[in-house]
Amino acid sequence: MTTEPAIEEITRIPSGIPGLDEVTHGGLPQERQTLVTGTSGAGKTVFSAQYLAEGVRRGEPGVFVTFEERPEATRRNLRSLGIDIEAWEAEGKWRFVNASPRFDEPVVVAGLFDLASLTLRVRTAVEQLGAKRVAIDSIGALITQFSEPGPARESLFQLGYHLEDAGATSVVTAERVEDYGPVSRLGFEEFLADNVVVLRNGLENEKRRRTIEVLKLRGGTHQRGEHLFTVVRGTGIVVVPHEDVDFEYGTSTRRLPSGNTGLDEMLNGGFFDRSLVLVTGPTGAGKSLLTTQFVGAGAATGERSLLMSFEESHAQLRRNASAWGYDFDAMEREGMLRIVVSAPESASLEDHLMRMKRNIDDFAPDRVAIDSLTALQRIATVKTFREYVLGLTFHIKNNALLGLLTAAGMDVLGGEHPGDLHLSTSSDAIIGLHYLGFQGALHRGISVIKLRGSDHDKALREFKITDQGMDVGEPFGDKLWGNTTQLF
Amino acid sequence: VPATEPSAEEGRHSQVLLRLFVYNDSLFARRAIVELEELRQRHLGPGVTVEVIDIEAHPEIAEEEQLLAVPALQLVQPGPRRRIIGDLSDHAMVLSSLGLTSTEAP
Repeated sequence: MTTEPAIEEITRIPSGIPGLDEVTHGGLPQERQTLVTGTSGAGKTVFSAQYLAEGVRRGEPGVFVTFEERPEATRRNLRSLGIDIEAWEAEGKWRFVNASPRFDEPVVVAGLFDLASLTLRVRTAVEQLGAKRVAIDSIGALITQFSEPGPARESLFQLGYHLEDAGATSVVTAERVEDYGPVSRLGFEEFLADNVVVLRNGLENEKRRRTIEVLKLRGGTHQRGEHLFTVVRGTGIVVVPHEDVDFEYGTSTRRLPSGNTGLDEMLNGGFFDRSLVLVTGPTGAGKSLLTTQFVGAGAATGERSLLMSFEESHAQLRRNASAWGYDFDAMEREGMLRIVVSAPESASLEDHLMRMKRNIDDFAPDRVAIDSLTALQRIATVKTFREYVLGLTFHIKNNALLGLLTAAGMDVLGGEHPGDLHLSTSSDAIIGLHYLGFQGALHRGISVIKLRGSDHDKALREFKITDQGMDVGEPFGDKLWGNTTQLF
Repeated sequence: VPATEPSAEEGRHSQVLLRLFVYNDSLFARRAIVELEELRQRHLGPGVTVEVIDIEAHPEIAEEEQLLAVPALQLVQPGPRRRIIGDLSDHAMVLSSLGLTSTEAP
């Protein structure tokens, strides 16, 4: 018989922030304090309010201790998140402890003091409501109300212990001066909590980049690194987690048709089930055609496809498909195809990613095609784009889908900086489409640049676009020697 | 209408109402009560009324007054209201912020 080492059992509770519980692997530690730090405007108050509101919805009353914003302002601001605090206050589900500075009654200090009244007020509110959740916003605003930080610091420690004893789970916010650097401005707050979350709101190349990172969390694991978030009207903070990849998966030997017999031959039998395919090539080289064939092959074999288009309108997609002999209308009617068209600029990358996830969850496709990544690349910074692509690929893989992504160039593969996460490593197959000029004419070429888990045709083959679609022909072979310009 | 106007000095002191908020019989609470008694005997006139409130027994008053720090001495009358926090060991600060002059002979 073996003796298991004693592991502290800490239950996690839902944070109320969509996506965060995936990052924290289950929520915030129950009956503990979690410190949420961030620069001004990073979203700390919204975070606190969402956290409390989640409790109220689950039948757990909440107490909001405010040191900065007056309750009237918080009530007003939260109305835009669809939270009617006044109604909850009237029902005894939500209570403010207003500890914001009073300007109507000047205060001077004449001797030693403590903040026993603050502790008493919070305790009383928690007891009277039977509160299970408490938000304290923010430490910095409390400390700056007094000329010396000692008493405030001490009372925050006491309050923390008291709330744990009372079985309440609390979120405490604190300011930081910079997005990177010390966790908090005052340098002691992190000792208050075993659980620390950082909100960042940086500018990168004049584009706003909001991220959330869990620095430490008691009683279990959590996802590392920064995760993008967005503030959605009516909801508040929504986190876009990188997903954990299960590396066990993906060893399928089952082949699925690409939709193009010539390409299937080059692949020695088609794409692998549950793999991610990247198609690169310049505009007009045939990416949309390959995408259409990919979708068509799905429909023909009873697999549903989700097509996310960021370049062409719905009508244009249908017209193109019909010119190549595919009836998108019929596929949509029969539930074999869903087309989602969005202008890249119409939303942030985070929002596009969430829309894609929603459609995957909702439509439950077998195949996903995204045309193209390049269109999305222009609306975001390099870092944000890379995170988006990661989120995208992980979501496709985690759902065990066959994914096809298109891009105009190889730059989406990444690789300029060591430590970068390359799309080339997360994609299982890369198909290159090329333009070549020789013998006074422009020729189209196709090659399989990479195919994980199998041998493949290494040749660069010529193809033609006909009214039957893509017609893959012979390798260029010796024709290319000496007199070729690879245009793209 | 009073038959005789009180002197300026008397008038100001006779209308003074102070509230001392303390937490239970904490060390700071006991000190503040002692200091205030001393201030009263040495500097404040007989017309100063002091009400001592234990917020532990009356948390609703602490909430209503939005009290954080205790002890806290609140000047209720004459207005406008002001607040002195601490154990009141700094007598000069207490007197100057109450706007009261000492009644003790110089």
